[in-house]
This record gives sequence, C-alpha cells and structure tokens, in this order.
Amino acid sequence: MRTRLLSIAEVEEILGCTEFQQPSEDLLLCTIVELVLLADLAKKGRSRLDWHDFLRGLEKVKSCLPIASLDVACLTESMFERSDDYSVAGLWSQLGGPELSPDVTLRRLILRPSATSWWEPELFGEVMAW
Amino acid sequence: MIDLVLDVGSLADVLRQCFRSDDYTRPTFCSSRFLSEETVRLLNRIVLADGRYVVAASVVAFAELARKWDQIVAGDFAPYRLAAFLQAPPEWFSVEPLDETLLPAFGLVSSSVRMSDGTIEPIEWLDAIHYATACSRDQAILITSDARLLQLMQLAIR
Repeated sequence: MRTRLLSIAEVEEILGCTEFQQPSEDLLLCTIVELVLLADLAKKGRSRLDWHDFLRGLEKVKSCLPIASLDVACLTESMFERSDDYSVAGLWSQLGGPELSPDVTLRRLILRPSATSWWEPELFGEVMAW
Repeated sequence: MIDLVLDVGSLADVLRQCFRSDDYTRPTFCSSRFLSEETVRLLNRIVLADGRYVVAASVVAFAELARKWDQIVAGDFAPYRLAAFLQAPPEWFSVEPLDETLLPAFGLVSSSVRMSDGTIEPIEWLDAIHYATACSRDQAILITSDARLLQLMQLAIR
C-alpha cells in the first residue's frame, strides 16, 4: 500500500459522490490546499459543486480521507534549512520563489518529509513534479 | 479592544519592528508603510494588555513572506530570527493554522467586491484566507493595505 496525493479534480469527484471508501491498494491523501482551491472554485461557480455541495461532501468524507494541513509546528519544521546541530542555516531551498504560484509553496511546506510526517518521502518527489 | 489579524505586508512590518526591539516580546510599535497610526495604537494596547486579545496571522502570511523573501524582507532580518519567533511567539501573538476548520469562514468571504468606482474586482483565494482568518475569530479586524479587502470590510460595516 502506498500513499497517493489527490488532485483538485479527484477531490471534486470524491466530494460529489454519494459514498466514498478508501481503495484497498492505495491510501488517498488530500492537502488543505486542494480543498481551499476547490472551495474557491465552488464559491465562484467554476466547479460542478456549489458551496453547499462542497461542505456536504467534505462533511461526508472527512472521517475517512486524511487531510494534510499546515500549522505553526509544520511551518517551523518545513520552512528552514537546518545544519547538523539543528540551527537555522537559511530558508529551505525548495520553498520556491515569487516565480511559483503560492499554492505550490504551500503544498511543499505541508508535504516536506519530516520526523512527524507519516507518508512516504517519495510523495514529496511527486509533488515537486506537479 | 479587538484582535488584529495581519496580512503579509503588515506582518512584515510587525516582525521588522519586533526584531529591532531590545525585547521582541515587548516591542513598542510605531507607524510605518503598512501600519497606520490607528493600527499602532491598537497593537501597543494589545502588547501591554493581559493577553485576552491577540495579534494573529495565518501560516499562509508567513509562507508568502518566505516565498517573496527578497522583495518583502529585503535583508531587514535573517531567517533564524523568524524561526525563533515561530518557535516561541510572544504571548500576544497567535499563528493561525490553515486547516479544514477555516473553510466555513472562507465560504463567507465574497468572491468579488464592487469598488468605489463601480468596477467589480475578484477576491483571490490567498486574500480570502487572510479575511477568513479574521472572520473566524470572535472579534477581529484585518490589517491590510489591499484595496479590495479594505472595500470588502467597508461594505461589511455598512
């Protein structure tokens, strides 16, 4: 079994379904970034889900779909490059700069492998290619 | 008294002034590019108060600060200062998470706003997160210089 990150289109599909179950072969993971982007599309009438469908769908799946979020602990862990003695050597080189869109940076911060992340480090490699 | 929620520009100014202070947990703020006299008055009251009110910023504001580091911070402080601040924020400061609990407030933020000249401007998702962070608190105002968010707040007050 491996962890697989859902795209916005897949999250939209899942939230629009009447039922959702995790597949046996993969563990599906969603980041809060995909939910925010989908919520924004739903609000603006650019999704097949309207805002209420979105909230209903979210309520329905949230007990079985893990959502990777960003809190101060994750931010502090992910945002910096650290030396061997754990002192801060600078900003993390993979953060991306102003040439990248903000959702890319947020996704990287959330999924950066750390001692507390439970998904495979390869998942971060995949998201870097998005 | 009321909580203050900072967007990226006002967060950068608050951090700049904190790190120039002898004790970053007890700074005295003064007006600057993104902090008006009125904002400074409220900030200083919160710093000196009993901890019931806070200055808050979303993790997204910090992520944006890092993404545009050279443009926004421009060498005014070093990453290790920011790391220390995040590790141990002053008691009057709260770093707000980006998680599913914010989504209901995010949904309440209008997707566009009518400006005073009659044009309709979209509210981008990133700006909506700052606005929603303010809306998700009992009583808070967003400290921003973004004309669309200022107009949105103006319309909400009417």
